[in-house]
This record gives sequence, structure tokens and C-alpha cells, in this order.
Amino acid sequence: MNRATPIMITAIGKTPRQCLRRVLLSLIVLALCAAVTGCNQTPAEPRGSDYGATVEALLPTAEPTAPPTPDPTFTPIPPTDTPAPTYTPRPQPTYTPWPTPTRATTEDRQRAIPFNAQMLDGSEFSLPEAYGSPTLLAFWAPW
Amino acid sequence: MPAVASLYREKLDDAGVDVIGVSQFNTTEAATIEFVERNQLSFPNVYDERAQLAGVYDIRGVPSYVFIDKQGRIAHVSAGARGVALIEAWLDQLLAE
Repeated sequence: MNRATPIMITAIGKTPRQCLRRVLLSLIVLALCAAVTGCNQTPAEPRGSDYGATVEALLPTAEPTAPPTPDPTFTPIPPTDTPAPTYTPRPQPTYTPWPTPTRATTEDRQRAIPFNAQMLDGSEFSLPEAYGSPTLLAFWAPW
Repeated sequence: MPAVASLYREKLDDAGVDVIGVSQFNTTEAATIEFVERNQLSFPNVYDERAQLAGVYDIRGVPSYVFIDKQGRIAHVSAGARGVALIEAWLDQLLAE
């Protein structure tokens, strides 16, 4: 009974946690060995000669193509040593100041139209008679 | 206009400047007389009922000023509420000519 399995004998006196750790460690070692063995094997042969034929039949038949012609709409410009285009600022609108009215010279002055008028106080005013002194006509309204 | 009246009393009358006030634009003679007395406008004023003078000198609004030199020629035309200082300066120029 006691020689049932070595593993059982070995497990005697170990805690379940220690047993589980040992089992996991063994599995990891086995997995590593299997991986190393798989990498060293040569690739397996295709399953059959008809496999490649099937794949080949699904591919479109390649037709002989002419050499690519350049796209007429695009003409590549070979790089040259011409300098980069310089930035020309857009000309700003120039402001022309409104001409300052120049004071009319005495020769340019227009003769005032002579007139006679009766004042509110009954007196008479005649512009020609006022020649010889400056006259100010003040147009106003009582409001 | 009261400012022009003050300038007339203080300076223009003594300087020999003829100041003629022209009242017009939708008013009456009675209203013009009342305004002249109330504001003590001591310079001569005329009631231009049909705006004949305004038409002759192309006056479009009030206040407007026409400066006539000693030779009877139009030296300056001022429209709008110009300051009395400007009026005085122009008249000084006319007196200096």
C-alpha cells in the first residue's frame, strides 16, 4: 500500500501548498523544454502538393504589364538650387490726407454781392458804403 | 449769437467792424425783435423774411458767418457753431490787412 506511487510517497510530510508549488514548477519546466524542442525542429512539409496548387489557383493570373508610364498630370520638378521664393508683403493702402483747405489769398477772393437792407431799428445798411472796414454777416435764428 | 454780441461790445465795435445780424429761417419779425432785446444784441440786425441774403451768400443753416474784407470781398465763410475765438482770429486777420 505504501508503494502505490512514488509521488504519493514524496508528498508525504509536505504541505499541500508545497506540493502545489512543486507541481507548478514541474509544469513550467516541461513547458520550457517543449518550447525549445519545437524551435529546433524543421518546418513541416505541406500537407500535400495540392495545397500549393489550391492557393495558386485562387491568385489572379499575372499578366505581363508594360513599364509604368509617367503620369501626364504630374511632372516632378527636380530639385534645383534656386532660392526659395521671397515673401513680398502686400502693399498696404496708402492714406492720402484730405487736402487742407488753403486760405484764399486776397487776390482769389470773390467779390461779395452788394446789398442794401433795412435794419430792425429802421436804419439802412448798404454794403458798398461799408467798404473800407471789415464786415461780418452773422446769420442766426431766434431759437 | 450772444457770444458774438459780447465780442461786438468788447472788441469789434471799437475796431470799426460792421456786424450785421441776419435773422431768418422759420421765424417772425416779432420773434426776432424779442430775441434781440432779450439777448441785448447791440449790433444792427435785419429780418430777412424771404431769406434773400441767405440765397445770395448760399447759406444753408445757422449759425453761419460771412467775413467780408475791406475791399468788399468774401474772405471766409464759416458754417456751424464755430467758436468765438475762431471768429475773432479771422477778424483780426481782416483788420491787419
